[in-house]
Amino acid sequence: MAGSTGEPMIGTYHIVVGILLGIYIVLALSLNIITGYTGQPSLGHAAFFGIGAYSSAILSTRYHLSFWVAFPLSGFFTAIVGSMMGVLSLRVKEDFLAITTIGINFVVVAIFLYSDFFGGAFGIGGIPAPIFFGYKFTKPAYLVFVTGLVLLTILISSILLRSWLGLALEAIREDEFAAETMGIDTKKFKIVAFTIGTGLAGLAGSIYAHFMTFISPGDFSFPLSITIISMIVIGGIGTIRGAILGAIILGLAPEIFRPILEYRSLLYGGLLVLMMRFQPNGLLGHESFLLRRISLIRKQSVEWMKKGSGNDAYT
Amino acid sequence: MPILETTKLSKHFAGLKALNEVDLKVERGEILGIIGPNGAGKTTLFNTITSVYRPTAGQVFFQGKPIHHLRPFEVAQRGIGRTFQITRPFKNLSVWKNILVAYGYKRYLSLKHVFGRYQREENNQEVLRLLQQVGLEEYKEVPAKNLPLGLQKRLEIARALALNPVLLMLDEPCAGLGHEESQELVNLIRNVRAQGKTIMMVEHNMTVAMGLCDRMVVLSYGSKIAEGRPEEIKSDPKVIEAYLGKEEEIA
Repeated sequence: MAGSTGEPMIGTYHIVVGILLGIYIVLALSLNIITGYTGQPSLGHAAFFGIGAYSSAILSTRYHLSFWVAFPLSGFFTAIVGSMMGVLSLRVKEDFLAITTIGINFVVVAIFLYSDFFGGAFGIGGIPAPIFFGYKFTKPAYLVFVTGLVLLTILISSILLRSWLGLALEAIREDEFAAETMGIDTKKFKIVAFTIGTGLAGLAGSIYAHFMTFISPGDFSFPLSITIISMIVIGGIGTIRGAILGAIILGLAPEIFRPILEYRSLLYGGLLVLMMRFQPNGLLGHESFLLRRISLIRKQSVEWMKKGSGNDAYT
Repeated sequence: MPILETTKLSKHFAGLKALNEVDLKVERGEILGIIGPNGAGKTTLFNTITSVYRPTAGQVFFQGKPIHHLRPFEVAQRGIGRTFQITRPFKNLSVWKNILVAYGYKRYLSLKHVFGRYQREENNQEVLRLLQQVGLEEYKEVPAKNLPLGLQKRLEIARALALNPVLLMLDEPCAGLGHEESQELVNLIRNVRAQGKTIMMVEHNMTVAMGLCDRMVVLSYGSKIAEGRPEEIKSDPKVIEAYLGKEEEIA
């Protein structure tokens, strides 16, 4: 990434980091729907990010479709593949599902890598920038677009959390068997969760491909899946605020710790162990240390204000 | 017409006849007790009726219609609510949300309603009424996992009632409870019946079962060995044999 050249690139560098952070937030929030809300472990989310990216890349470079057509199509296509993984989750459960999703990640990357259709190891280059009413996307435009996608994902996540559908997904997470006994079609709802979650990851992939202009199989490999799941675990699984915080922390980490790049995995591992030991629900998850502090401060300030107004009433 | 009827209902697990041609009828408004020694097939009967298991042979009719080919969620939608022998609350959800999950059962079927908000005044009132009925209103915000067993059992009953069921199936509601807690639960079950619900329950505690049930079905090794009013069951030699063994063997 830019920034180390010493030229006045600070602005651009920040915009690039912002765009990537936005993409990470969408990935974390979308996995949160599958793993956080519905409780279906997925360690292959990067595969769907990749399917979206490759779909968009192929549609726009080979079939010369406009970004505005390729973008929704790639989300749609990824959602279809994702719903198939949802069908799979009806057969394999819990730890076995986690392992199966790892396998899916490797298979998808291998298909990208070994098939000429997907450009093999060289990937696909020359992915055109979106054109908006004759105006070719520049970095700030990407940032605006990605921000819009982040807002859309937050909107979908919060609608889900407050809806009967979200309640049903939470019930499935807590106890699938009991949920079925309460009149919930658990099979259908699990597939729905996978479809929505992977579809959003596909959209993130599409914009990523156009922004990078060049993608290769390595961009969507298993370590990225681990990073995405680490984001929601560290931030607070099942919550919107947690997924966003986790994506920001782990998204910025490579920038901040660039000098000790070699030891990054060590750092992440250590971080995860510490989280499991001291904050198993994540930094902003339920009953977390930070959240308790915030609510304490809020309570104190409310009391303080009350006291103030009470004195006013007496004087 | 009986509310529920099974005809020659069988469930085999790799040669083990967990249920063997069981015929039974549950009449409207009664409390039917299912009793029998350990391993008699009581819970298997519950799971087969609620479609958790597919029957090996035989049929289940609910309100005159066959239900043995349905999925468990469809059985719940038709009006059978159940509880579990080992409680299965939605552990990390609050008591209030636990009830709400079941209360929303109709919304899960329509695309129009499933995206609607669940936090609405009319829903809250209905959930509160159910919580009051089982005496859990002060635990509304507590995560279900933090409730003691006795209250978890009540929560499960309230959750099953939220489905507005025609038939309520209770799998050992008093198992693991102390004397007083059992008594309270018995009162609750009577209360529920007084509202016009039909109840089918498995119960191990004989005093509880005898005091509560209108009729009983006795299972042993998967087969029905007796059926009748509690006082008839108490003196049935076949039942005594199933529980205590044959007299000659003892002597």
